Amino acid sequence: MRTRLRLIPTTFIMLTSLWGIPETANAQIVQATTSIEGLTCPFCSFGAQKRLKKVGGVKDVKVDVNLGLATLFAGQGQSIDVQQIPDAVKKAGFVPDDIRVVAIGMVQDNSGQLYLQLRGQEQGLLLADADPTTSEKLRGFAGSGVEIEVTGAWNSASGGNSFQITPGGIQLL
Amino acid sequence: MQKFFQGRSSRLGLSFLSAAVIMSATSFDPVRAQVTTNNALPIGQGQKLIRVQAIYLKAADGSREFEELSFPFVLGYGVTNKLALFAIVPFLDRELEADGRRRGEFGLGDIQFLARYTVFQKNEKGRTFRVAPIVALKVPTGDDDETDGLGRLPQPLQLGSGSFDPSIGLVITRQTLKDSLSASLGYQFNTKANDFEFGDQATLDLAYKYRLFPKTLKSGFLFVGLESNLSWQDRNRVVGSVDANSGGTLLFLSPSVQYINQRFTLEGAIQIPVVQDLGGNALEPDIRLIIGGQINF
Repeated sequence: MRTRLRLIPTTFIMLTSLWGIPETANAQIVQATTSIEGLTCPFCSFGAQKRLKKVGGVKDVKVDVNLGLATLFAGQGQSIDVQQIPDAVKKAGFVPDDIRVVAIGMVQDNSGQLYLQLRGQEQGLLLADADPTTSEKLRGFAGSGVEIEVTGAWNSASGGNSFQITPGGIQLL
Repeated sequence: MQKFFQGRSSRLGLSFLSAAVIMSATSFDPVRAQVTTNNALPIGQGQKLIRVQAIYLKAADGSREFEELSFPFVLGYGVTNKLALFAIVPFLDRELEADGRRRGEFGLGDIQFLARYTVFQKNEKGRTFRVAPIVALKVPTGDDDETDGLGRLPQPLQLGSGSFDPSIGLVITRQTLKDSLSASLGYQFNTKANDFEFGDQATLDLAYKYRLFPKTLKSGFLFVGLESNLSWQDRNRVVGSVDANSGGTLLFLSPSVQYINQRFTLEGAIQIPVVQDLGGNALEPDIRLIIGGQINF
């Protein structure tokens, strides 16, 4: 049974690797959408698409010039290396802005802290500072063995390996 | 610009083709999102493009007729997200008819190498403003010693100048999803070869284009535009003496159309002379037609 839960993104959720390993290297990111500033014509967008296709784990990229967005799709069983996206956009001659991702994993509770156990990975992404409603719904999945899909904004914290996802929705798989 | 004068090789009444004609054929702006005007839009790191145009130029009066068909191939490469390099490889077919005789040649002209570097940019969603200086060097790869049955072709009819000619320029572009405005300023320093020195040339190009179709911004964009091309050229020097029948000012207005999608562009323009203030008995251009396209890879 598939259930779609829509959450109002009122706070950021902090995601951090529990084992000190940069979580983006193992993040089960199946889709990422980045805003691109300075993108004004289709011919120019080719360079952005070409660079973004080289991002780790990416199989395909679609660019929407009208909306100034590029959507990256992961290959089968692969995870997009989101950390590479801003540099790819810059090398194409544009300016990266917000990134939204779709991540898949199982919610676990580790001494009261929620994290997203990634599919086929030992590492996880720590969920922290969630708003009460979001935390309650996520805690309901903790330890259930049920995989969920989380969408939200991805924002690299300065100088560190932690990332924030603002939940735009949680979906059971 | 085209200029003719009765010079040293006019024993049979033939006229020289002006330096301006050669300039118009080989001083080719490398990356024109507009058809006749440079722009400062980005070429990403590692990105390549090929551009080719077919340019037809005609100038005639009662006794003289000049025609030129040129095919400049432009190869562009993004070294970094700010630095782009270009090579312009022109193939020329030019012919002059005067006093009942036809003279001309076809082949490779002088290749020009250019570097463009973005020094300022301001970007927002669906909008960009960029400024980029350009430096270039035209090298004498074209034949400058062609002959026919009448002897050596006059220097302005040769495919190449025989000289290394540097130039500098500046391009500014403001582009949105709806329209685009570009300005390109350039100056070419012409040096001497074969006792002939073409006059230095300054150019100012302006281009505005407006997106017509599709309004939903799916697939490619269709633009209509209006461009202006102003050029001034100093007088030529022949064996150290100033040629009074050379140099001058030309202004073209150029309506244009462009189709642009992610992989290629197609374009066309008609350059119509509206101001012609040329030296001496220079032959004034009648019209110039341009079609072309470019591809990304």
